[in-house]
Amino acid sequence: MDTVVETQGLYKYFYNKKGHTVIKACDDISLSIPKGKTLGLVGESGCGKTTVGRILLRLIEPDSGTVFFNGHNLTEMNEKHIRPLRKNFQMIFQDSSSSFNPRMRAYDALKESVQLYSDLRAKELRDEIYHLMSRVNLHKEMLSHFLGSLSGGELKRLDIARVLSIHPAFIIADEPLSLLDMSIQSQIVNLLLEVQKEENTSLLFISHDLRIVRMLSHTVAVMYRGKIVELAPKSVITENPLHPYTKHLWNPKISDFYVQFFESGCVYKNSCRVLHRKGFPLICSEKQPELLEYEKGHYAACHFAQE
Amino acid sequence: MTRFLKLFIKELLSMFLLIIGVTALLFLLFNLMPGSFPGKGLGGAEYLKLLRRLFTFQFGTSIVSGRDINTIVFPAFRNTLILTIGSIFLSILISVPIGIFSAYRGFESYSWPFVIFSYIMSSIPVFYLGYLVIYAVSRYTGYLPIYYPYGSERGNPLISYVLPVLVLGFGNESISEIVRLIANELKRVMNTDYVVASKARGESVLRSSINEGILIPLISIIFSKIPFLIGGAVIVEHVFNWPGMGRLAFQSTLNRDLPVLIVIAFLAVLCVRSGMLLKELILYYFRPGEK
Repeated sequence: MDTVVETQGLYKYFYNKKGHTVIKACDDISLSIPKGKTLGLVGESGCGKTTVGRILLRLIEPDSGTVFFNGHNLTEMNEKHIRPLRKNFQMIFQDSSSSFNPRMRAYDALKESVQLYSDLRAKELRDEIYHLMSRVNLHKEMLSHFLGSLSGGELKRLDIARVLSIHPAFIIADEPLSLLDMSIQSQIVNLLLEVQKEENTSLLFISHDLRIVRMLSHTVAVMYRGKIVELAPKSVITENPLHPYTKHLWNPKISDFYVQFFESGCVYKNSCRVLHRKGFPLICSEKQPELLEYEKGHYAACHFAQE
Repeated sequence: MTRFLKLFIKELLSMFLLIIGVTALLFLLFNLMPGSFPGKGLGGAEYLKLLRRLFTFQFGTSIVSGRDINTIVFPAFRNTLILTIGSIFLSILISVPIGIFSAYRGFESYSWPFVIFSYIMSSIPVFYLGYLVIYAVSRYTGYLPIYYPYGSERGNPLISYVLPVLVLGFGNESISEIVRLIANELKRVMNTDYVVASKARGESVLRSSINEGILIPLISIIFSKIPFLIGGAVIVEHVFNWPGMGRLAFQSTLNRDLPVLIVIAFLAVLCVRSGMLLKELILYYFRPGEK
């Protein structure tokens, strides 16, 4: 199976003005997404999911590490050489209300992206735009509205329509279902599945909604504080999670959560149930466990993963 | 459209009031001047007559020379207009590339000599720059004429525009303001989410931020600079002996020529306020959908 996107050892730390590390958004992230498959990226908010997505598009420069897209090393190329490739990877942005110019009309925004990589004119262009609007279940009348006056859910769907108009080979969907109500959520999930089936698109599905990640993904990666703590095929990870954080996500209890920052040791040790049960073993507060393969295709980063 | 109509009527009304205020003040000050000269001691009836002449564009004759004011004022008006518009274009031509460059690169890398240059140019007084240029050109090259060609004195009047336009274009303080404004605005717009999104789609960053980042700030600043440009033009007209509105106003003040002076004030108000109206019109086009 050919890999479309592959990352190796991505690091991205954000610093404050004095140069101290504040957030480790990416800490040795290695992922690969095969053609036509979906990788679900799950984690709490602020753990670096969006940063990973933006690094894949080279909208953020990583501190180190490489991103391969169809064999092109994106991290070594400059913007001039990446621009022709951008047709192939697109992102559905998390905050769609700010990813549109509010002074544009919806029609112009769609026209711009349709004409970016095709030279449709007049009637064909209008038909294409109407088709896109009906795919994301928006009414034609909305095309004449200014983008600043549309609601969050309408903009989200327009954003998805804009991405679909480019026909990319790889879509990063950054929380595409937030702001949408249940009926539209299912429509969008079906739309994404349909597009994936028709055009053999690869997807990176970033979300904190496990229900939908389980529905869409082929593989699931669980992130915690910039690290991937577990990576496995969907069926394996739902039935037999190894990492305590994954277990917690599958079966959350409010009492488990308290947030505190520690410099060394396992990233998850603050809220870890296993740690409590084991009586605070020393190794957890001293050493970050490596991401090891426990079964075929099932990776986890925990000292006690096998128990 | 209603918003536009409202704006238009408001602008016309303020223009009308401003003209009445300016001419009344001029009339009053003229009457307070010491000495005795023709036109002094006129009353309210004469003022109303004068206003009627202004609004019907029948300006009458000059007190001093006895010539029709139309033939005095409009050539001067044309000369100043050429000088002002030429220098605006020159300022834009110099400052916009510097602004874009420094928005892209920041002050640190390579753009700082240009930015410093624009600040130095703006801080030199325009008359000083004018004399400097006259000295340099007439002393060392002698190629460009430093006076306006009066009568049949010299051949091509176009060449004589070069130096005054150059001096006013470099010397008015708008260069550094445009550079600073565009550098800041463009940088802000280039980092907004929607420009980042269009970059991710593969569009040019400059193209998708040109409206908000360059054109709108440029239009706002240029039209608000018109009064200052006319003020700067008065000085440049003196330095280069340029037969424009500024010099005409100065001379007719010395000559105590009230009819000409009032026509000049009338045209200046008309010019500045219609510039403002034009600015609103253009911004209305560039910012659709704004409430």
